[in-house]
Amino acid sequence: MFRRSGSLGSVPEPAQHGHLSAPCAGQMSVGGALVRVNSRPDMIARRRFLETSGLALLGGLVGRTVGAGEATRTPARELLVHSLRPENLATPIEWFDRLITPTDVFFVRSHFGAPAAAAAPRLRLDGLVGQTLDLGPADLDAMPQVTLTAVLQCSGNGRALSAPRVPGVQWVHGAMGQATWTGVRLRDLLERAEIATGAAHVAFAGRDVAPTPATPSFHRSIPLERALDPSTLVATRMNGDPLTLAHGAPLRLVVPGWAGNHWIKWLQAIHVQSEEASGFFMQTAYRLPRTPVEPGAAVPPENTVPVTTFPLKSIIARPVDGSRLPRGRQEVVGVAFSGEAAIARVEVSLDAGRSWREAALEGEPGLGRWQVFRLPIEARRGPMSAVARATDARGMVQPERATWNPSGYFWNAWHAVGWEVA
Amino acid sequence: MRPARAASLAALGLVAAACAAERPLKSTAPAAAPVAAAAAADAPALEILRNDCRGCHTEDLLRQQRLTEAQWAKVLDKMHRWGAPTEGEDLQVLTANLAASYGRDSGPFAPERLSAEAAADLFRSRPDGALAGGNAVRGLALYGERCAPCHAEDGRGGPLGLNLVGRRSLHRADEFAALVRGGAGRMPGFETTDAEAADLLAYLRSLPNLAGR
Repeated sequence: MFRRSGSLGSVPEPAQHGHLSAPCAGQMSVGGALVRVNSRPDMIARRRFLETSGLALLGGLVGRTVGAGEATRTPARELLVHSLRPENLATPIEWFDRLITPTDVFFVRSHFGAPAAAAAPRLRLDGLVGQTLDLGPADLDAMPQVTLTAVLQCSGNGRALSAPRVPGVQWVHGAMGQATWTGVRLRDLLERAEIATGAAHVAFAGRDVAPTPATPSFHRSIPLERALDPSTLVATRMNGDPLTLAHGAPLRLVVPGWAGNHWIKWLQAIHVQSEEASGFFMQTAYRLPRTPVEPGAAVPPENTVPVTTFPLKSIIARPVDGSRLPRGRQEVVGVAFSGEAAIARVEVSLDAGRSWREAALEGEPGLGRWQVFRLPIEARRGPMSAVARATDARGMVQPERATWNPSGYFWNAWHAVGWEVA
Repeated sequence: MRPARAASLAALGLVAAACAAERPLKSTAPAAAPVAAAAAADAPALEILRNDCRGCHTEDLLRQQRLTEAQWAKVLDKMHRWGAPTEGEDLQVLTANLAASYGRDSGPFAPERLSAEAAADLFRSRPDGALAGGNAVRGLALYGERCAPCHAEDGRGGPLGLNLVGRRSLHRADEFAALVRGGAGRMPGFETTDAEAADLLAYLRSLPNLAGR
């Protein structure tokens, strides 16, 4: 398993569009964007501008008046369809106002579509181990169980905001969520199997099957050190309930802080090996330039490294960009997280980045966990705007602009929203 | 031979009907051209899309892209290497149409909203009903005669047919039977009794999912 398959593709790289980078860079300034917001109350024009600036979500809510009290109402239990086949469904942004994303509105990402449910699921662990394991559900249930809270985020979340644009599922902000995950530590399984000399990577395969023999299988590996981290789980439950097929039933890998592509769903095989996994999804896709490149640049494979942790980010759930709100007491609320450190602080600016106010944080700080931030505000008639930026426990501040890369991974620029107060 | 044309896929009535919620997309057809004429010009591209792409992708995945012709060409080249049969003139027609329909300057993509309940239903197995209790041995014979020429002896797909092993439709018997009877893309429909469909299902379910082995 995890051998290089016969036909390997390459990540489609966008054509160079150097001429776009200069004007875009100018428009990317949050201050500039919001000046435009204030000088052009026409919502459609503003919305169009924000799109080209890559700064804000394009909700389908322009012109919609949000009634008093709606700000605290449960959002609609809906998902945004990016594709039905394979299933790629995003969580609407309004749900990012709470610590736990409910399972039924939690985003779904799949490469080849969910497979048929396993009639008699088994988990095999083999390779550079003293003893191959072949475990059924009862074997896993009999082992020590761990529950943790962690963000699951697709590395392509925010790809739609890449300028110049890049191919792939055009996620805006909805390919993320936070849940509790329950299962056994991968470390306990590896110790039970006795890791052999020469082991350096652990590779994973799910039941999702490539549609043709020429399509590479979806395999990922993580370094042994990450596999042995006590937070790495083989999960059986999400938010307290058995995993659903959409989210990887019966088993999915949980790698807190690392991008979703490592969180293998429908897990059925674990292979301990000396090398990183081969194949398209490890050696060609899910890679970033080793050092930042000019927007639109083509990056040769040897200058890339696999994606791992997701960077510091904050997203404003409410007010929703382009909405209309009543006057009076409102709040700016959202989530902040990083795969590299705990959150220390979130600041919100209501004047296009000229001054910042610290928001209150809710939830436990931790690597790969999100906290909710909340800032009460008094809304006056006319256009209003907010920008959020997070700072982590190491003192690193979320960047004003995201670093462009050929696959549109890890967009984490300051999130700006504008709304109208009636 | 199909004439190579670069008109917009989106001008096609059928595509438009499939994405009624979507705003009108840019067309390279002259503004004054009647819709029917534009549609006729795009028919070859739609046929390619149906035959070569839809087995794995619904059009929504294409509609959200905003790519240059060079980017579309790379995407389609990758898909061809991954088993999509499109090549030669068809590839040129499809590339040009996708670039015209879903190019850099196309308007924003507005994803359809699906209720959480409807989303959950996408992943649910359904009772076999009239297709329960099939015989895998009879199914093997039927498979060898009708399906193996395109889907390969082992069911794992070939140049003309997709992999059938481990597919979720094997646990949605009504969908499976409708597909076998109605066909899809290049696949013709087959007259199939309930008993035959049940046998085919029993056989396909008996094939092990070897992903990762």
